[in-house]
Formats: sequence, structure tokens, C-alpha cells
Amino acid sequence: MLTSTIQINTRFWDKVLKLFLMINPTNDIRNQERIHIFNKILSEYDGLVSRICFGYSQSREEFEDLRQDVYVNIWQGLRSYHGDSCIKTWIYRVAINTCVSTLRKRSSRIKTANQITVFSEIIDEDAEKMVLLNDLRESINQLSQLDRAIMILWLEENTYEEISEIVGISRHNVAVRLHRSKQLLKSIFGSMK
Amino acid sequence: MEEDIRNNWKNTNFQSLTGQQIENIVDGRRRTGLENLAQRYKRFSVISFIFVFWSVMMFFSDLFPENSKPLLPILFGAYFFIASSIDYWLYQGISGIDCATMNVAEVIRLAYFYRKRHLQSIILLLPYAVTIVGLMIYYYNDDVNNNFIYGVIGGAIVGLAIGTRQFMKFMADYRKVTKDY
Repeated sequence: MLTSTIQINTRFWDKVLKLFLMINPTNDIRNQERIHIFNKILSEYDGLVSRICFGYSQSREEFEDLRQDVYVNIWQGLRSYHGDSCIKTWIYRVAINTCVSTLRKRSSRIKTANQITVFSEIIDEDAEKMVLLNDLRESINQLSQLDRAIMILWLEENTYEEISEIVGISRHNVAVRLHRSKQLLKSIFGSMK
Repeated sequence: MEEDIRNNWKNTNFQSLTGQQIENIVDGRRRTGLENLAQRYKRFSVISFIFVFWSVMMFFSDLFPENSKPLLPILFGAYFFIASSIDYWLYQGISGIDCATMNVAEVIRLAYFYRKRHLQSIILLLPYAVTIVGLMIYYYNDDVNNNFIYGVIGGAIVGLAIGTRQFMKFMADYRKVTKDY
């Protein structure tokens, strides 16, 4: 009885879907296109997304959450993305926006004693590089949200113009903030070594 | 040194998402932290709004002492109405943040703005709630037995202890929000 009900329901929804596609055939094409672009992003830009999430994370769980949130926003955002800006610039924007809009309560998060061990589960690098990356991540985490975004975009080798476009502040402002952050980072990073 | 740091940063290898994680994203089973937050505000707004009607009904019931009417039901109603309105406003604001189209500075500004307003609303509503509890004790004093009063006082003490702890957390959060942006 239950099986037949499910079958009837499935057939019913299949018919609804076919009818919908008959009325609006472009929807299916658009959806295929969306899946294609999403797969491309997953294969080509996963490193970029992961690095940004890493820069904003305090723990492995936070990193995993942020990365999945970024991909949810990318998947949803692809509906309205019409190629107005370069796909890479758009991904940077979505990834950083997702990270900065999730203002987590740091104090309530579990603070792990050995961050290097925790992150080594998701990063395939040797111990020496892990220490360096962790120091860098901790230094970046001491910057304000906006400065952190600018610093991460600079680390990603974006030009001042590109950073200015993504962040939405003037090129001059980017240069001033970046200079200040680099000074701060040098002092923090220097004292860590 | 700068180039070394950038090279190390750019050449980091992360493990990819699992197939299950990708499936959850595409199927729409996973919601972002921001969406969850917006839904939470919506839920609180609806619950508070229901309590507005509860306050009106209390006006006609025998649960409130006669001498407390209409002050106590009005204060209750106003409290829940304000709380519901604030939560609905926060829900609207948080839902309006579009990570795919807005620039980073705008998203940071909005996120901090709503977080700050959330904390300010708590600072506003907390003394209001304490006042209502105080008035309840005052009005019920003549009307009901001591056990009820002890219950209210006990509840208020526990509530105050939890509230103070939460308030300290909120204040730390508030300081961070104002300092960080």
C-alpha cells in the first residue's frame, strides 16, 4: 500500500516536472549550466575557497563549516550570476562575504591546544610548513575584519585594483590599510619566530 | 620575506569536500550560518508575537490579580510586542545580506550593524524584564500564598544568575564588535 502510494507520488511529481519543463524549457538548460559551472568551481577554485576559510578559522570544525557555507552561497548565487564580473573575482567576493558575515562567538568555541595537529588533518603539508601557516593564520586573525579581507586578498596575489573592486573601497584606502597591516603583521610574525 | 609568505600561502594543499557534503549543498539540505541566524530571529519573532495575544487574554483571565490590571498585562503585551518587532526587523535585515552581490565592506558594515543592534536590544529589554518580575512580586504579594512568591523569587534569582552570565558574554561580544570594525 505504502509502496504504491510512493510510486504514485513519484509518478505525479515526474509529470509535474515534465510539464514545468515543457512550459519553461530554458530552466532545465540553465540548471545543467549551473551544475557545470559549480563542478568547475569545485575542481578549479577549491584551493582558493579553502585558503580564505582557513584564514578566517580558529578550529577545524569552523573551517569545515565555513567552507561548506561558502559553497552553499556559491551554489545559490549561481542562479543570479550572469558573468558581470570575472568568475574568480566573484568567488573571492562570495567566500570573503560568507566568512565575514558569520560573526562567530569565539569564546564559546572549543579552543584546541595544538592547532597544528588539528589543521594537519585537512592540510596535506609537512610539519615545518604547517607551523608557518599556523603562525600566519594566527597573525591574520588579529587584524580587523576589513584588514583581514584585504590581507588575504593580497596574499592571493590580487592587485590593488582587484582588491579595491572586491572589497568596495578606494585603491588609496586599500594601499593605506595594507601598509598598516603589513607593519603589524611583521611585528607579530617576527615575535612568533 | 613577503614573497615567501605569499608563495607558502598560495601553494597550500587542502583536502577536498566529500561527496556527501557536495550532495547536501546541491540538494539544499545544508543552510548557511547566516540563514540559520535569520530563521532563529524569525522564530523568536513569531513566538513573541503569539505571547502578545497571550498577554491580551491574561487581561480577561483570573491569573493576574485584579489590582494589577491593566498595568501588568499591558506591560507584558508591550514587552512581547517590542521583542517581536525587534526580532522581525533583525530577521529582515539579516535576510537582506546577499553574499553573492554585495561588496565586502558593505557586508561587514551590515553584519556589525545588526549584531550591535541585537546586543543593544538586549541591553534595552533586560531592565524591562527585571521591572516586570519586580512588579509581579509586588502585585502577587497580597493575593496568593507564600509558596508562589518563593517560586517567583527563586525563578528570578536563577534567571538573574543565568542572565548575568549571558550578559557578561554579550558585553564581551559587544566590545569586540565595536572594537573590531
